[in-house]
Amino acid sequence: MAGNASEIIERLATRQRVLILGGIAVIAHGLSRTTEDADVWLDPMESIEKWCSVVRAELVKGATLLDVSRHREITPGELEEAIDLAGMVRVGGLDRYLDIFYQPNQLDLEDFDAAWQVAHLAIGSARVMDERF
Amino acid sequence: MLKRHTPSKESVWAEWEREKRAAKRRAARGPQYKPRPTPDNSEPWLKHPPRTIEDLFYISDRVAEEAAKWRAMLQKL
Repeated sequence: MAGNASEIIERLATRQRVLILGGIAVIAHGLSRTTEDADVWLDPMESIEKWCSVVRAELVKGATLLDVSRHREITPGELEEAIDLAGMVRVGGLDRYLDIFYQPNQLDLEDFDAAWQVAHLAIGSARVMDERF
Repeated sequence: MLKRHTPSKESVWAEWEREKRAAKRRAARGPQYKPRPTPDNSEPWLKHPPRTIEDLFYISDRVAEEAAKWRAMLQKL
């Protein structure tokens, strides 16, 4: 195991704006449920290239990148292409899968700012997606 | 290229209608109405509400354990 998903999220959140989504967001909002992975929306920033360089910088040794749209492992150099296709990347080799979204399904990149502003609940340095989104 | 989500005229209309209904409900409750607080799922697993991502995973894992325990018990019946 290369590391903890929670540590990578926290490190990302100290450098960039990170919104927690999915199952762990539901738990953060006070409901009891299980989740197999962690979903986060990393600030799309000004370009895919910058976004990918931030993700690559936080990868720990032994972590793997998975292109979920083509069901295969990718190299860090192929990250831009995978993000362009799927809008997200799955980080494996950790204690659990970490799905980092560039653009979550049915949301626009421009929605990030609004989602960040209304997200009032913070967990560590990250914020939790509000139920209104 | 990424597929952009563009809301349809119908979905925008439906959302506006939903907001109007919600505003009507809020108005009907009156100013003394107190919204229900966010449920606290830290019990019985944590001594405090979840503060870290590890806390969230901890609750998830405990719920999964509990579900597995109940599933095993029900299978014995």
